[in-house]
Amino acid sequence: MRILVVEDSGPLRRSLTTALQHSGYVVDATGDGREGFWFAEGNHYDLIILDLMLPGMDGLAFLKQLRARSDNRHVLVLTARSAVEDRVVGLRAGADDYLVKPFALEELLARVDALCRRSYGQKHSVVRFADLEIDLAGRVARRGGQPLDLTPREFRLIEFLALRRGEVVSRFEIEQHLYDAAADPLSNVVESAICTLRKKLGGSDARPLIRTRRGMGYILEVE
Amino acid sequence: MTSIQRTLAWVLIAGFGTLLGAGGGLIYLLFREALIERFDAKLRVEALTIITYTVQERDGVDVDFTDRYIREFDDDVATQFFQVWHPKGRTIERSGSLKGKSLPKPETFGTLDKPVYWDLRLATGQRLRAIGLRFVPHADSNDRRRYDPNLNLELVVGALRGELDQTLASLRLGLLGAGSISVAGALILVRFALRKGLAPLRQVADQASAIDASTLGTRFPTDRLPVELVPICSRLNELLARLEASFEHERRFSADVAHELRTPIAELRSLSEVALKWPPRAVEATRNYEESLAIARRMESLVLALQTIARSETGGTLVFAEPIRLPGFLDRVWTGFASLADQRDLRVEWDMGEDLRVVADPILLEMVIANLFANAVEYTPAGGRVHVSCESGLRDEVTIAISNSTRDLTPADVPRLFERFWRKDASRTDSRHAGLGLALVRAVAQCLGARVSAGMPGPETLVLRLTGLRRPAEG
Repeated sequence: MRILVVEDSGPLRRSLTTALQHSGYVVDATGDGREGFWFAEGNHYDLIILDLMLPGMDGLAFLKQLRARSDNRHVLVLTARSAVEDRVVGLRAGADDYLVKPFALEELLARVDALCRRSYGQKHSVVRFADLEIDLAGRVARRGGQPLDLTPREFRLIEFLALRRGEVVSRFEIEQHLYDAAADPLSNVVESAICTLRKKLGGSDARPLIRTRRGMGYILEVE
Repeated sequence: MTSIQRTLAWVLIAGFGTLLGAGGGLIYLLFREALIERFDAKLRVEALTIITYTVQERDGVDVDFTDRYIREFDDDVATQFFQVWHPKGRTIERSGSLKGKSLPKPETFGTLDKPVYWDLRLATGQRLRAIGLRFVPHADSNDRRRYDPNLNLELVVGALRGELDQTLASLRLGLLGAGSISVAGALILVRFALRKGLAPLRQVADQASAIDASTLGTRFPTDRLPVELVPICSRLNELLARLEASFEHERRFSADVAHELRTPIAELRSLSEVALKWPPRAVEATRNYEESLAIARRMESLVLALQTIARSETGGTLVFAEPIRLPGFLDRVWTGFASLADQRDLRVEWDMGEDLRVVADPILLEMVIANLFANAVEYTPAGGRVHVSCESGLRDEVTIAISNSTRDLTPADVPRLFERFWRKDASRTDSRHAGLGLALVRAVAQCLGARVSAGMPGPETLVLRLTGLRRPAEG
């Protein structure tokens, strides 16, 4: 899952980035509203965490412009404005959720998790596909009841494919989803990651789950 | 507790009762006088009748009057009485109604022109009203030689007062009854009138008691009020407006303080939670500590600035004034900002004029000047211009003006510059500034007995002026 954090407070932005990265998300972060909007325009994010009082472009203007372009990506507003009318204004401008500073980190992560799942129409935190079971909240994947030893990035990859099960996911989409803006687009990190994941998923006699559609991408399906 | 309605009711009822009593008493007395006068007139007529029948004759005085002429003197009816005495005391004639008994004499007898009237009581207990007079009986028309002009007979004529007293008692009862009914009616009327008359006051009281801190926007409508209440409600409305503004100011201030503290608290909390959940490496931990310290310092400076403003606004700041030579003083304060001004490539111009001196508290003045310098150096666009000048004005007042070029300020922003927590950019990116600098400058300037003002003489020039600083007395 890929998240954009637009927060002008340096310490808070860094803390959020660290917490989200440790929780398995790919994070792009900026402290400027205009730069954040530029990031949002050019990349696919499952969630945007947005402060309201921002230099460059105000958070509400950011949100309104995003919605004016029929962009329905989930936005969690994070702000020091605590009055009810502020919340109403934020939600009416198109925010999906509203969290007032100061906040508990666990609450933020829970809301982020819920919003990201909603991005894929997933209400429950456990995704099941054939004998594969992925606990999105517990960040654990099992096959045939046996836990799989996955790195955070491998988990995000299988999670992404599982949430879009039955659909062909392009290499570019995986790259967008798993790697931040600093990744080299010409590298073969995606192929390498798929290869490693296949090995970990099908170590024994298990049927292969990840199939390659030549020239198009990858799909999670059973033969 | 006193009550206007109760006091007015008592005063009105007591006043009305007193007036009614006095009026009733007067009416009673007038009627009584009139009735007695009529009674006395009748007695006089009876006396004249008896005098008419009294004649001096050859063998003495003859009262040629029989009770049959006036039945009331008869012993059957016996409601009127008379007795005639000779000057030597013997009774010449008495009415049959006396049944041989005598009437009491008055202390002094009156004359025919001025008879005496008095009340008396018979041995039977009956109350009489009587007339007493002396008269000379006229001569016998057939024998005028016997006429003695000095023969003063004494006559008392009395009549029972029963009817008169009954009439007076009825009058008293009537007046008392009418008075009681009037007082009872007045009581009801007064209560009704007071209730109706004081209804607007009660409405105002009800409205006033419903006002609390959350409904200070309430105003008393004055268009339908009685004229007596209009000035009261107008003053109350003005008071409410002032209270509302004051509460709103405090509410906004509290909200601003809470808002200003939310972000640094969120920063500290998230730093701590992330560090506890995913312990950082040594380098990152050091950075966390540095950031935490910077946040704590920022919060400390915010609290100190708020304290200074509060103390200055409430007059709690001690001021120790002493002569200060401005050029040297400003130069010393500027040294703290010279480096940043150089880094930002600012062009700084000084116009000190004469060697001005002022009398002020050096610590407070430095606080004001340092904030003005900080404002100019940090908000002037890189490569811009800062101009510092001092001049002596009227009445020995000195003005320090600091102007700088600006890009984002507009004249509409100028009145808001001194508001607490106001910043042109609503974002808190520049965490060094809480938007309290100029609010602090204004509060501290007041402690110095000076004023601070702002203006934009040109589209991209901001001037902040500290005026009202006093020059030392000559000599």
